[in-house]
Amino acid sequence: MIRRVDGTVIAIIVRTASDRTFDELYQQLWWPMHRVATGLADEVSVAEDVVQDAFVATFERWGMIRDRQSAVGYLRAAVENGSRSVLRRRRTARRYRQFVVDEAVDTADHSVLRIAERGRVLEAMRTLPDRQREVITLRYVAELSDADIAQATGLSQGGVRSASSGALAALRTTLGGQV
Amino acid sequence: MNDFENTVKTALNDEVDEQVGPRRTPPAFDATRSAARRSGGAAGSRWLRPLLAAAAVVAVAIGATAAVDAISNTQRVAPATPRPGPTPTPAPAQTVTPPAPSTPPPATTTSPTQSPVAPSRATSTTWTTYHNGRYGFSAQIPAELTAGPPPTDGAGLTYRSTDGHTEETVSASAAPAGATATSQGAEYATQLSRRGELTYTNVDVTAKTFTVSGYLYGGTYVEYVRGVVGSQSVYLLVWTYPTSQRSTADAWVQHSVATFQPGPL
Repeated sequence: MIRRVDGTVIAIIVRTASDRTFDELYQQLWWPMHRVATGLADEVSVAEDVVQDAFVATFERWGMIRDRQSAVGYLRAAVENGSRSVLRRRRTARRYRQFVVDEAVDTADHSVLRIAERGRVLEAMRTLPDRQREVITLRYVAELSDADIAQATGLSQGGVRSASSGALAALRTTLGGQV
Repeated sequence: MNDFENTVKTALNDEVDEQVGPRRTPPAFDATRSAARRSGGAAGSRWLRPLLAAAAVVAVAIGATAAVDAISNTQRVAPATPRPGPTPTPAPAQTVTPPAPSTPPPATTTSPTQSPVAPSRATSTTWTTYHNGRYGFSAQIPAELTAGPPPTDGAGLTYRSTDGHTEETVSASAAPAGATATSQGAEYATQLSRRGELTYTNVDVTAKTFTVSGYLYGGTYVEYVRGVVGSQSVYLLVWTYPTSQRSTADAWVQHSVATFQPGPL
């Protein structure tokens, strides 16, 4: 499963125990990390790169990571940081990007209304500061606890709660009675 | 979570789901891909240090383990939390077999503590009965599982195998307004499909039960949820176990579902 540049005895020894655990982590967490990165970076192809980079970074430090929980925490932080870097790089481009929503004009079909509602929520999300948007995404897409969000973002748990409540308040204000 | 938060959550997850499409297996991991892109060469020198460090850690761990085994024959301590099975396999195509429909439960005590029950014929397992006095439900637990922490979202208890891989959680919580077996089943099905591969759903409106099952972690684990939805309470029986241990755990699931006794409906 794992391709290596080194085919040495050292690599063979490592494979006996460490690789299996890393493989398991990769199999388990690739998909959830991919979803979270998509939520954070808002683009599938970019999210795939972010997740790939995060797993490579984790793999490179695998021998120094104490246990699985530490590995998961490191991985989450790597995904979150990678997504943030991507957003910084294309912030200017995003500023001029227009979100297009299929508005429900002639029909009250539920799916159409739901798409329109989603569009309004996403537009409102884009007005939030990066930290608030990250916390909201990690909470509602990744379904992480405050403690896990704090670990991934580097905020305190109080900071996470503050960012979350601030974000929700801002969303309420922006969306008004629209949703 | 209030309605507004639910709306936000639904919108975000719908957007992500639309972008990522149906769940797919991860691509083969290529440890060289990102490193090559970042710096474009000198891969050998970059790999040497982490490989040596990893090798040293593993070698020390293997040596220490062998020494301990040789000297004392002591039993290794199992991890406290579930971890993936040793040989991850792709998600199998077949659906998880739903347990048999409810059958009259065997005579069990309803004391607030656990009480032993005669071994099950089907599994040769000794069972204990968990009874929750607050919600009035009871469930049978294989003796192989030991009590762990209470669930975070209701009253009840989680039981785990000694290796930490298999879990049975029995719980109850207040029913959301207007909740039915159909609505609760749909909610759990959605949750499972987000976390893994949903393979089976069933709702029995008359019996007020729903069943949701599927695979987690790339097919290496099975999750099985059985719910009974009353007007006041929702009673849940949730199993998680490695796919590799289905031969044992499936029989446990069937027995526990058949003997699960919800509280007042």
